[in-house]
Amino acid sequence: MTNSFGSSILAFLVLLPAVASADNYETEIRPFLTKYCVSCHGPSKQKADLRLDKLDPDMVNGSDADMWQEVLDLINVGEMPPKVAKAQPKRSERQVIVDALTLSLRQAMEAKRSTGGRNVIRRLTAYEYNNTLRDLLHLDLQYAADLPPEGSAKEGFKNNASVLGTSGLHIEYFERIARSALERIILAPTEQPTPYFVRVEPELAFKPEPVAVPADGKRQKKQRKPKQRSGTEYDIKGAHFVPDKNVRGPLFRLDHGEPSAEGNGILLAGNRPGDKVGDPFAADRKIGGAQGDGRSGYQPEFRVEIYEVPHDVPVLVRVKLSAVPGKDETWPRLSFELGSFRGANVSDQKEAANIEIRSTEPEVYEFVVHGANFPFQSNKPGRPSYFRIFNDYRRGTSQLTYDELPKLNIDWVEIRSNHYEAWPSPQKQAILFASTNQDDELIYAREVIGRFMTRAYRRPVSKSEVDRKLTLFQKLRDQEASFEATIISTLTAVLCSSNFLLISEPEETTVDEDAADRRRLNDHELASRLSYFLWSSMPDATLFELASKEQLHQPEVLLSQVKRMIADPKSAGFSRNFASQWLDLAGIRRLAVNPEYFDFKEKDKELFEEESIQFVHEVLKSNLSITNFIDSDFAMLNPALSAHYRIPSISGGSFQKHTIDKSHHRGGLMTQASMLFGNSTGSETHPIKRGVWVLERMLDDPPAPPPPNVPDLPEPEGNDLATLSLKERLIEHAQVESCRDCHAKIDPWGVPFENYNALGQWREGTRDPLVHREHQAVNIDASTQLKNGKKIHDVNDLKNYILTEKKPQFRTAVVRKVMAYSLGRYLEFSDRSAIDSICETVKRENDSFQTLIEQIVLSEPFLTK
Amino acid sequence: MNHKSWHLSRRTVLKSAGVSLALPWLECMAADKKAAPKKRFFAGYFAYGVPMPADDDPDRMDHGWFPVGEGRDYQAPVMHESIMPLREKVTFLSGLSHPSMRGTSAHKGADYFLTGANILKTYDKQSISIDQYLAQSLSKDTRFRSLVMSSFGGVNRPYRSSTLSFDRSGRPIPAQNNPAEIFRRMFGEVTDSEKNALASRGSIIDEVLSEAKDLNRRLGTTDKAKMDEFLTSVREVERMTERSVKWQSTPKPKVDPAELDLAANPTSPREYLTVMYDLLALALQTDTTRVATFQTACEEAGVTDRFPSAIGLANSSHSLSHEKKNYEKVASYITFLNEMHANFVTKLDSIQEADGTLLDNTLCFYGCATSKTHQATNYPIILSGGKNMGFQHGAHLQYGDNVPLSNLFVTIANQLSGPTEKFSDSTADITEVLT
Repeated sequence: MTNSFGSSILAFLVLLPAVASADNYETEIRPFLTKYCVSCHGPSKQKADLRLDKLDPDMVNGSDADMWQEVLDLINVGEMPPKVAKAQPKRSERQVIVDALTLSLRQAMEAKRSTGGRNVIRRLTAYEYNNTLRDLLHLDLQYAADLPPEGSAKEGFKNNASVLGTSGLHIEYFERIARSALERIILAPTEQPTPYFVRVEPELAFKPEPVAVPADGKRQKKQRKPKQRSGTEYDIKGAHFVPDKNVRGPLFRLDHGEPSAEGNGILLAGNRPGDKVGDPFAADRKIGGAQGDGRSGYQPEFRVEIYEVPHDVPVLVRVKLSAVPGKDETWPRLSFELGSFRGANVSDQKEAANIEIRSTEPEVYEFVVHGANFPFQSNKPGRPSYFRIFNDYRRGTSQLTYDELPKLNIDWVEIRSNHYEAWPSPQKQAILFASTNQDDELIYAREVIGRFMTRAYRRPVSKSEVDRKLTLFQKLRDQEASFEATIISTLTAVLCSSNFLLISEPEETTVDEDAADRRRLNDHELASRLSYFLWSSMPDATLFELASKEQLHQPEVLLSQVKRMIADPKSAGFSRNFASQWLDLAGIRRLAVNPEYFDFKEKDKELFEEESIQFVHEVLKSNLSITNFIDSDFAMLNPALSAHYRIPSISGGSFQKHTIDKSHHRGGLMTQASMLFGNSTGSETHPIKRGVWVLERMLDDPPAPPPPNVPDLPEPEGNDLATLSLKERLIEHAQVESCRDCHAKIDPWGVPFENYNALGQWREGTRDPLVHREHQAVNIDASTQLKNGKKIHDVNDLKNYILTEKKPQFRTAVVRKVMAYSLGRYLEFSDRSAIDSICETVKRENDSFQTLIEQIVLSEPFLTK
Repeated sequence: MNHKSWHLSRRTVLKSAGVSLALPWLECMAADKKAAPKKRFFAGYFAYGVPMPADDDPDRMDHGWFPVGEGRDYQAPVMHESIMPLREKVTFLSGLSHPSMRGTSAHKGADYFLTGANILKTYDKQSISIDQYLAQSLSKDTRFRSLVMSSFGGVNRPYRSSTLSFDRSGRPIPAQNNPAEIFRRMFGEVTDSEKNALASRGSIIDEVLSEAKDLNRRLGTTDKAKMDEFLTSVREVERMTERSVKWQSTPKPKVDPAELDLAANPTSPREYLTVMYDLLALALQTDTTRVATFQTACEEAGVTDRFPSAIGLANSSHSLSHEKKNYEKVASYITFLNEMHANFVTKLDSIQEADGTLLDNTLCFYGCATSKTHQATNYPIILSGGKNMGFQHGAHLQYGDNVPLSNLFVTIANQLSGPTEKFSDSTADITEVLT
């Protein structure tokens, strides 16, 4: 091994064997020890029982790696050599030994976790398990919700085999989840269940005579005009179906709505108006919503409460409505939720749809959801389930009055639970398919089990594999109540099998312990690798067929499949999971917004997450250059997020691509709220965290972890500290010389984002008008200097710098991140030549993201085990 | 039918506070008087250490954790008021720590709090936690071997553990964090489907295990190591199934969920911690298990960082722990956590068993692996209960900074489990906590 450590990026990428560490021991470590340490920790004296000249320089195989870490930490924090020592190392000398030890220890750590550059058998991640059951059973439910939460590898990837532990609790849940899913499908009644149906004409709330006794028992005063008192419940006297006379009938509840002009519906305005004077509900808007749903109680809403509705079944919701546009071409947004009450004022709910309505003509909107995916069943007996509609238009900073707000004009609402389009369900027919052998239980069982296993194991199954499951079937048949019940138990065993739960690539023949050579994956193994990479799920029929014909491994077939898979909606699985893990989007949920600084809706965190996912997805789908990750002339926005960013006049429904220019201060991933907020403190910016994020995620150059007992960046508290500039605080943080050295490598990558507050909103000068008044005084200075002397004035400067001088490093970083994700393991030295050649091709192809993915799929590490 | 493990006195039923528990008269209750006393163990953990104003600070008693004075004549600071009615059943310990982790950068406390393992640089020396060690002998006759809970759930990752419990091989045991699921597993009505499932589970697990062994034979060395974990897990379920089969003729204790806010989650900390502690009390009271751990928070940014919101504080628990001058806020936050813990201990003491209270039959070990901000020495520890296992209380015991916490674990193991000479890096035992 002759690699030098000259280039730091190279050194980070390369796993060098122990002998190289010994090299740098002789040239860099030993001289320092001899000069400054050995007089106290050597042959003559052994202060603290420590003899440094005898420590084993081999940090990989030797037994002294822990001691070396101790040595590094003490030098790092400036405790050693002690201040009283006569010989004090120069700053540059200290830097050399710190770098050398850091590097060696890092290599030792990498060597320890090495799998020899080969993929290791691994369990499906919780999300892969969920998606696989979804595709296997053709039923989209939240299967993995009760599984123990999962951790992630150091680089953030959850599919790294080393962190995918299996425990008894896991197996217990896998069995339970599989059985209940199979029972749901197979044990469904022969007769199609009767639908539960409710239709509501909301204008009933405005009949001049009270239509019912309000639930609070108080009689309403005679009303002069159709005006509805907020918070009053009404029995629904319209057409509805109640399965049991003892069950309380449905109720509906209207907050802050008014009758439509035609009188056949109601109007729901979005948001609280900018002026209180013209607000007909001003008096009612005193109480904010304390239900943890991220919305304030100010918002008008229309809610139907239903008792003992079949909840664990498909639900069809139909709404007839039209839009009443607001001033300045603003449009209402229909949001609906399914939920339930668990206390008088405590509810759980989940949004099922959120769409902008632009049709001024009444139209019927239909949604089919599965009740099991929502907190639709109350866990408190007697409390109702509910269905809620509100207008999710956000006023933002505009000052629209009540009359100017866009409104939803709702004519009627229908809810149909137990909504099945076919019976028996297609899911059941897929497992218990029609066969001429249906009369012979054993032959039919073999057919059913065999077909199911083939899909569950993601490969053809041998006769003996089916035989053993058939043996289980026969063993259980006598004790089980029916053929169906026995099938459920047998297929439960299939879904608890190591062949289903684990992605394994076993040896083709008996294992030869010495056979370190990689082998080519067979086509079915390749199909799985491909589909878990791009879909986070099992291979589909096309992949399976190509694998069976042994064509999949052919490069042209592979390439066309990659194209097809990216075009398939399931590629959202890649964008969502890769982006979340690469960019650490979970950081958004980990962090809480300080209410002393911001008015913030918890729900907006989802926007931050979604923006980055959608952005990565757009680069993938449209086959754009990966340089867009650093800077782009477009942003993925929806109205709520553009309001957060103060980007005016974004219309349209869900997240869409919008062209932007420099005046918007957006473009690329680094200036998205996910990164800026996720690496703040929830009240203040945190340039160190932001810098570390850029180095780790964009440049794959993670800084060494801080030595023990380093205090956190002090948060300003009280008015006197609020004006302390960030740079002063950084200096306070890095009082020790060696800390400054490290921070000189980190902080300049975070300081340029100082123009973005903790929520990622743009700010300039000496005021941040977006936070509460007492925290507005700031001292924004985004200019900095990189360790190499390069001056950076602002965030655009930083982006340009990365896209010019750091471009190869950035490209390599993206290749490595995607590759580690595609393989489900840490990258190692043996992957290096593949990475180099992928980088070259990607560079030639204008940094196209699809090329990058194709090249990874065609690479040696991906195709072999 | 195994009656031995079902020693619920009727008074248990009558005296249970807060949570209603309705039990039919069972033959097994008659055995109350004769049976050997049941020994239980609880270990609890809170995050990020405690405020430590200097001894001459005028706010020492108002804001500090550690008592003033040693032995029986100590004075407890204000934050412990909630547990002081039980003064004679409570001991404060100071000074103890795990030697090999004293130099850690903190936030790793939950990883080694109950194991005492040296995981400072590598994780491969992680070893069994004291609760699991005790479970080997204490939980032979209970429906569950142990109850492992944390507010994060799962295991998270090395150095930021979200579980306190580690098995014989040092593998983390995933913690449960969902009250409804914990309730279901312990007390949920056994549906017909579950009865069916149990009847066939043995055969299914057999098949899964034997098939996995087949696969294992075809794997290379690195794969085998990983596969071993799968095999171990399946065997564990095999044993759990045997346990369940043994237990299936014994009805689960009937606990009325109406009193429990099972939908609570960590975003409402008071409600969440209350229901989690209630579930712990129920688990011990009903003898569903005799060993339980609860990590109230993970020392990593996340939802548990917002626990101070329970008392109206906007600060994160982590940033509170970094306070170096004005301890008022952090003290009021720790006071809140102490109240939650004290409510639990008090509840145990309100439940009568044949030979004393449930607290007398439960040793509760509660604390944290840092004292002052990020200092992994002088752990704040409260030991309570366990009178019938020979524990004596009413004092503040101060130890030097060089005494291993595992010495206390040796004593605990001796009293609860059987002759134990060593646990982790122990050097002796601690007899001052015994009568």
